[in-house]
Amino acid sequence: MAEIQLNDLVSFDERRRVTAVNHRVYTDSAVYSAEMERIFSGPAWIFLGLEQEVLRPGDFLTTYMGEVPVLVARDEGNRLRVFENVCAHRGAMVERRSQGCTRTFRCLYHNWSYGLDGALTGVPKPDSYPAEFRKEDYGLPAGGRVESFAGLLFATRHAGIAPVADYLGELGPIVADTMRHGNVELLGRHRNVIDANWKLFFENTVDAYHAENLHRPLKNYVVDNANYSFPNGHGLIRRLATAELMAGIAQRKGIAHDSTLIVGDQRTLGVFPNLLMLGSPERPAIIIRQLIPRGVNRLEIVIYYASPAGLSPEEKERAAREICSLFGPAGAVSADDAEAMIAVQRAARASYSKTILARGLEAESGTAASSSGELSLRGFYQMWADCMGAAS
Amino acid sequence: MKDPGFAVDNESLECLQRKQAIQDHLQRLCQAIDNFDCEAWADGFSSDCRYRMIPRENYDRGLPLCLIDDDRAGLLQRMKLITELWQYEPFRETRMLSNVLVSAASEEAASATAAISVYRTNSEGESRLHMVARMEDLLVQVPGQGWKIKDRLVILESFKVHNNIILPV
Repeated sequence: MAEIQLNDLVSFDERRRVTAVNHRVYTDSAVYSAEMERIFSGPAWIFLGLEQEVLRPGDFLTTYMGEVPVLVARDEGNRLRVFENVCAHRGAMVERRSQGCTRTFRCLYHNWSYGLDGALTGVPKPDSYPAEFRKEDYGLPAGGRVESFAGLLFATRHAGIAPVADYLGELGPIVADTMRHGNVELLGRHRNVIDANWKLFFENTVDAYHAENLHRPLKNYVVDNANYSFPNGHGLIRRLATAELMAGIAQRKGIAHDSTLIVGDQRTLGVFPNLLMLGSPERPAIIIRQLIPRGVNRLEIVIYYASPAGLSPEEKERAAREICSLFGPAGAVSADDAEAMIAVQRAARASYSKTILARGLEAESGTAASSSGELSLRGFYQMWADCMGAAS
Repeated sequence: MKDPGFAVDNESLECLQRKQAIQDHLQRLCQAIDNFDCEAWADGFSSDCRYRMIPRENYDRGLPLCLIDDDRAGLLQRMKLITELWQYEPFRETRMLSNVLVSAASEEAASATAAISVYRTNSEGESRLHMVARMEDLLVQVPGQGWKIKDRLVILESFKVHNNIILPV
C-alpha cells in the first residue's frame, strides 16, 4: 500500500484545528484500506448492535466490524463473546442468519461445529488428521474484546484501548441517559445501502447547518442548537425545544402547530467511528444507527429503533409510526439526507472537491460551539487524522 | 335438456367483472405513481385508509416498525413531500405488477394479493431493480366512485433499501 500523505487530505490551522478535508478521503481505495486497518481495527470501539438481541445464553447476532464479518454471542456462562464469523477449517462463513438463538455454530461445508464459547467441538472423521492436530487450536477466531454500554454493543480489536465508558468520556452519561441505561425494547430495524462513503453519513448526522437548509419539511421548526466535540472524535448536537417554544415559532410563522414536530431535549450523538443516535428523554423513540463500510463509495446503514421498556403495544405502535414518518429510507427527513450524500460522492472526483469546515471557528470555545457551527465535524476529522497517522 | 357445460352463470360473470375492475384499479395506480401523478394515486385510496410498508425482517419477527405507516392525511402529506418538499435527483420508476389474485369479491368489498417489482432509472439513464414486494390489499366499493383501497400492506422483500424510497408502491 502506498503511504498516505495525510497533509494532502486534512488541512489544519495554526491551532491544529481541522479547516478543510480533501475529497480523496471518499474516493481513494488506499485511504479506505487504511481506514479498515487503522480505525475499524484500530484504537476505537466499533458499534455492533443492541444488547437486546443477545440477552439469553445462546442468543447471537452477526454483523461486520469494518469489513470483517463477526458473530456476537452470549455463552453458557452469560458472557458476551465476539468472534470472526469464519470457519477455522476452510474459511466459510459459519453463521449465516442475522440473529437467533442456538447451542452450536455449525459450518455447512464440512460440518465443523463450535460451542457458544467458540471452542471447536465437532470434526467429522477426526481420525484422518495427523496426531498433532488438536481441536483446541482451531476454535472460532477471536474477534476482539466486546463490551456492552447502556445496552449498546461495542467491540475493538485494539489491545491497548480503555473501556467504552472511558472512550466515551463526558459523552457517556448522555449516551446512557438517551438509551435509558439499556432498559429498552426493539421496535424494529431499517436497513439501507447508500452510494456514498461511510464518513458522509457520520458528517451529515452531526452537521447542524444542513437541517434547516436541506430539509424543507422541517424548515419551520428548526431552532438554534449547540454542537459539541469530545475527545476521540465524538460529537453532539443538542437542541432544547420546548412545546411552548415550538408553538411560538409556529404562531410567528403563521403555520399549523403540528403534533408530530420534534420537541424536548433533542440529542444527536455521534460516537466515533460508526454509531449515530437520535433521542430525547421526553420522547418514546430512540434511533440508533450503525454504519458498515461496504467499499470506498458504498455504505450500509442498519438503523435500530427502540422505545423505553414497558410501553403498551398501542404506545409502541404510535412511537413506531411517528419514527417512520421522519426517519428511515422513506422518512421525510432521511430521504433527503441520502440525496445530499450521493450528490457529494458523485462530485468527489472533481479536482476542486473538498469540504470547508470553517463555520463557527471564531465563536467556538473549548468543546462547545453555539448555533450551526461545524465543531463536531472538526472533532471527527481530528480523530480520523490521529488514527490514520498513528499506525503508518 | 340443456347441456350444463354451456350454461352461463350470471353471478360468476359479475364476479369476474368485479375481479377485472379491481385488477384494473391496481394497475392504474401503478401507472399513476410511475407518472408522478400523486393526486390520482392518493385518490385510489378510501378516506379511512391505512397504508403500511414493512420490511420483511420486521414482519417476520412480529416487530411493529414500518417504513411507511400512513393514514389518508399521512398519504396526502407524503404526496406533498414528493411534489414540493423533497429535493431528489430526477428519476423515473417503472412498476411491474404481477401474480394478482383477487379473492372474496362481493359487491362491497374484496381482497387482493400481488407481487410487484419497481425499477428505477436515474438521471443518467441507468436502470436497476429498486425493490420487490408483496402486497396485500383490502378494497371497498365506494358508491359512485368505484373501487378504493381501504388497507394496503406492502411487505418489502428488498428490506435493505437502495438509497431511499421516494415513491410508494
